[in-house]
Amino acid sequence: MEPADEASNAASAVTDPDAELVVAIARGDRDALAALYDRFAGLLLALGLRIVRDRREAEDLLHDVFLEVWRSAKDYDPARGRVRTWLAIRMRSRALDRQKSARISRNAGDDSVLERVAADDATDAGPDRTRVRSALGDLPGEQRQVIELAYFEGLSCSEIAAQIGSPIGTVKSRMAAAMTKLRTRLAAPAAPVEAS
Amino acid sequence: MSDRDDLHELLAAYAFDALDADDTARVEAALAADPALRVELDELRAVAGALAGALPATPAPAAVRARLLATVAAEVPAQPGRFDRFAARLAALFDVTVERARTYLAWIDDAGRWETLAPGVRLLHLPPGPAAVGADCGFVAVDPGTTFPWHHHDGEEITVVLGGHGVDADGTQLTPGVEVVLHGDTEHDFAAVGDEPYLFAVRVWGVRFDVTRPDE
Repeated sequence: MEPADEASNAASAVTDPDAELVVAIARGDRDALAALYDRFAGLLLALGLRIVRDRREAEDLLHDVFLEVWRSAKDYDPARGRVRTWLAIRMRSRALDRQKSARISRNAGDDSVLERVAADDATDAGPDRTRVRSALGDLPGEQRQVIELAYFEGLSCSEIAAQIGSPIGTVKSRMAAAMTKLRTRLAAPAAPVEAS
Repeated sequence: MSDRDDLHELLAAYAFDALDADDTARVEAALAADPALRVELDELRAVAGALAGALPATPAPAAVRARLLATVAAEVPAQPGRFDRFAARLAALFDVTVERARTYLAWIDDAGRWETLAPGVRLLHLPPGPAAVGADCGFVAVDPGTTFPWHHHDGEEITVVLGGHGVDADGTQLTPGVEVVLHGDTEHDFAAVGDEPYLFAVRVWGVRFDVTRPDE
């Protein structure tokens, strides 16, 4: 996956094309912003939509997140993670803020997305999606539920404990166990897959 | 369970911002003390970020893309020193040292120095050197789509375009680097076109706005 001329380009630590886009955005390159949008807007919109459950609001968030990227691209540190992680963290955080401020009532039990996507045969999915879905599908249901409530609903461990009627210690253990499994599965030595 | 195991367990919840204040403080203290734990946190966050990839694909709307690009186009990216190439010309125009002119150019990014002259038109007054005392000296920024009000020059006006794109009433294209000299007793207006503010430096010996465009 490394460029063939990496040795001759030793001065540059940036070899990830997404990271290069962010560096270009930090220089004020609007084409790079458009390219980053084309790569990740679909992913981020899906995430925002899942959290706020309103198309218009999710699209507003999408706009705001990319505007934030434009203004703070220089803060991106490739050593701390991939661009898609950096973007997903921003979108999730904005979406949860919006959802909380709008006091939209949350009824987490009614739409267990991970439950559904894990069961989905995912024939149209890209390799990345297939991999994540399959990793999720192999989790025990109670672990998947805890991950779902924490990530998409933004619930704290104590809120999750109250909602599912389990001790908070159990919630924390399930979350940690689920993450350990997901991490092993997603770090398996398949070719690193970029967003499609 | 050891403290260490307990911390690793809490780290997963921390990656989801799902801990109460006490546990959060505990994890953050441990993170500050242990770089390896921070690396682990980054990995957990990457896993959490990947969960979004399991959601059904949602086509990205072209309208949001267009709105985003229009928004960023309207922002002048703050690149310090981007106007420095004009320092020598402005030094001559305002009769100040090149160093002083460079300072003036840096003021362009200081929003607090600008005053609003008309909707979409901003002005930054500059103190000139001895040879230009009595002239109005400064920078003018005109937002895209805005026309600078019709006005009369009592004496000579020299304009040096710094950024954006303007079009004079006589059709002259005003792009960065262009210098325009108008003699005394002339009138005109100009419009900002393009997608960023039309920005120029000006020295004029008397200007009045108590005139109207001939066709109005």
